[in-house]
Amino acid sequence: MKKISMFFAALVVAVASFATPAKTPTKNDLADYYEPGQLCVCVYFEEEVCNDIVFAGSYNGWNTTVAEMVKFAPLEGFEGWYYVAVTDASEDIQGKPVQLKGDGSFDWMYQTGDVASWTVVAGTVNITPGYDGEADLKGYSTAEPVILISAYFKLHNTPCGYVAEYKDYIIRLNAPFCAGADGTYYDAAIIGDFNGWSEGVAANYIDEETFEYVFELKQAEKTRAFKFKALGDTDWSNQIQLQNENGEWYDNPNITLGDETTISIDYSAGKYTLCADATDVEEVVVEKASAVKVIKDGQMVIEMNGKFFNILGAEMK
Amino acid sequence: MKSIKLAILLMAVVGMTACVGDLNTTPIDKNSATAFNQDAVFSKCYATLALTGQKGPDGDCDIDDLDEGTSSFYRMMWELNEFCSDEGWWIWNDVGLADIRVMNWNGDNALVKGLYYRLNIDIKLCNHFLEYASTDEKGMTQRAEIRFIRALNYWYILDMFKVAPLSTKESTELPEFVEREALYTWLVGELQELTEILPEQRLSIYRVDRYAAWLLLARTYLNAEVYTGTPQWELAAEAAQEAQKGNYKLLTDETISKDGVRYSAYQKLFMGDNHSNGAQDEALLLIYQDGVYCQCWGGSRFVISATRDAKFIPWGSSDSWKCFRSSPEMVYKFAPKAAADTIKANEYVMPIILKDDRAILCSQSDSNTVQTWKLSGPMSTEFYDCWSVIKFTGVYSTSDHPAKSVGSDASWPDTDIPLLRLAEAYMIEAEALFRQGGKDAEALDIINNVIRKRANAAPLTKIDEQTLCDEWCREFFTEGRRRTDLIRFNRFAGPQADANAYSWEGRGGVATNTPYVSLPEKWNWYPIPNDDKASNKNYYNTKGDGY
Repeated sequence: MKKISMFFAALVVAVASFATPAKTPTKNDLADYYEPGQLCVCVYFEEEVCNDIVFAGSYNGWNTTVAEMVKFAPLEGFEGWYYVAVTDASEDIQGKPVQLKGDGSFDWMYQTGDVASWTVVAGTVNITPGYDGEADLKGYSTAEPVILISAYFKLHNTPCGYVAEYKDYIIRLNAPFCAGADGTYYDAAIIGDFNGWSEGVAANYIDEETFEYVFELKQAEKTRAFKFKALGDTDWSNQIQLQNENGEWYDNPNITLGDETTISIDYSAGKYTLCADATDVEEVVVEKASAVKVIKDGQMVIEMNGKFFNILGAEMK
Repeated sequence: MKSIKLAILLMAVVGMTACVGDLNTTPIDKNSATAFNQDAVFSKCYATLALTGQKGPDGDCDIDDLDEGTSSFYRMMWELNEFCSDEGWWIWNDVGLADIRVMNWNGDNALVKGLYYRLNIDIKLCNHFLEYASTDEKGMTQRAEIRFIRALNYWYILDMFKVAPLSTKESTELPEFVEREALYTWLVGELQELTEILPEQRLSIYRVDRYAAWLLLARTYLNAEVYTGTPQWELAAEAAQEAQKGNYKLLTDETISKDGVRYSAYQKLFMGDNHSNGAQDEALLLIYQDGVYCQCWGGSRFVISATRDAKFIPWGSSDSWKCFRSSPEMVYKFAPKAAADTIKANEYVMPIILKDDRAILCSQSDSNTVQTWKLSGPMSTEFYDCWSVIKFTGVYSTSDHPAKSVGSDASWPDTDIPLLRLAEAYMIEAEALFRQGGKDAEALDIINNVIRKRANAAPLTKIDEQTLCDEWCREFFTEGRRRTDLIRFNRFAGPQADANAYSWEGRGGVATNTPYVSLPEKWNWYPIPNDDKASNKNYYNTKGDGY
């Protein structure tokens, strides 16, 4: 009995990995797998697939609850090919494959890769750059099946046999010192794929003298990326920008968290995209703080200017 | 129990109780057979700053026709200067209180009446002392001190009312009402004389010397434009400089306890042992409080208990009322607005985080981590809708840990009230220099190198009206003076330039700090109580107060 169970378990975790498709379906091969008017997407994954793949997109309002998403199914007779059929009345039909984690949960980390990773075999879809190492697939046409080849998943991340490593990070940012046309100073926001590129992490402390921001990321996966933009900028039109050797401004790049848990970034020489002329900016009164709660010797303490203070205000020697 | 005890506790002053009606009809009977006990009456005059009657904490009120709870000098003065300001929100709906919070009071308001009659009965008591006190050396010293106490009461009348009954002699006649300008003139003259006749050094930490008179004179000059329409910035600066020449000093020594608790120098000004930890040397007028010998509902007990919930870090008292919290505008004086609601810290850590020892605020108590403090201030009756503002405490700075602090009483704190502090002299000088124009650097030097340096706060890079107005708040919040400062900075009521348009929780009945509402000028003072107007027709010899 024990041996049999192990045998079936080995089948379940068998890895499918196909470098190139031996046989490619046509739209006629897919005719029986979707209803007229439905979007049918058929994908060949060259990189390792070990778990279910779901389709994340506009058909369900980008809902990422696994139970409410449609999963790709193997296309019979075409090894390595998967298909999905969904009904989507959106004007701009969007969606992309995401491989689930080993425990069956969803994570944008395991979506498909950047523009260069895609090959359109048949059908209509626009593939554009995403936030960080992925592509956005938009403008699907339901007139005929969309047949694609994905060379790799985002940043070659794979949940197959991968054990995530989580750490607590403290990220210090020296942000640009500038305000918009209305004189209001911009505050920096950290965004990244550690939480779906949202503004979910507020700065713990802000020093308005130096415009230093301190962010804490609790139990973030070390492979995750982050960057900075202006707080409240919903359409990413006001990112922190840096200047290259030619004097050209560019958006601050994505940074991977990595092994070091304290990360200091100096963008004070940069600017926000929508910075007003610096001469229009009134001087800020110095009265703000820069301190951060950290764990030291097993207890919560306050760190400020390299000194540590206990929770009753005394400096720790 | 404090080692320093005062005779003010020995209140066997038979016949010294009065009633509201005394103000209107019959004064203390000169022909009474009651013996005049000079020391007892002298002590009683000082005691009126804290106590409300002959029996502590209550039960034998000085003023018969008032709720004793509304007859406290300190509490009424404090409430009428704080409740209508940007510093906090009292969530209970005591009688008369709601109208104070939203600036909609009238001549029948219980709190206004309480303060008015308290100030006047205290003046009457002082006049009684001055009528009978001896003229020997001791008597003359006591006379000067009681004249100061009377002047102090008159200063609050000047500051909080538009017209006033002025009575400097014990008399059976109804007092004459005078305009604000006349009272100002009389008070300035009185204080100028007191700066010469009061002792060079006070005879105990609970008595005053001439430097207290200089400070009160400086405060009067500082607000001269409000009272008379004519500013006196040069005189204010000079008087403030004189006030600094006494044997007083800012407390600058912090204490680190054996258990690793930091009591900052600023915090120690408001602690249970502030009669002996060095804070007494900063206080030019210290109101005596003691857990055993001086119990009252209108002193440090109320300002400490009102700000605590049961699960806070121990505060040296078993009593918690949880009825007074900060307003968001108060928090923003210390915390960056953009990130304030992310700062979670207790009152010992907050000054570290906000780089200012005066930021004795609490947004998360380590002994009550399930509680969530908001920063919304929606005029609500919820204690946790804004941070706790808790700089007064009954804890002794000699205690290893707040939980180990032992005062005179488990419930009544020993914390004295520093009604006049040397820091005020520096702030007045700084503002008066700034107001003169061309002296920003001198003003900034005082703010940075005296006031903020003691608080371990970073120096300011510029000075302007808003900065100064905010700095007054940071240094003196919840010490019962905010209304006065807001009026002087033209940020309270009356016509305001758009640049000064400033609002706060509850101002003019508006829940948030927007939209700004323009308020009639008369809200810059309180009304003479209607029943006193009805009793003393002399009121109608003035231009009136507009109510």
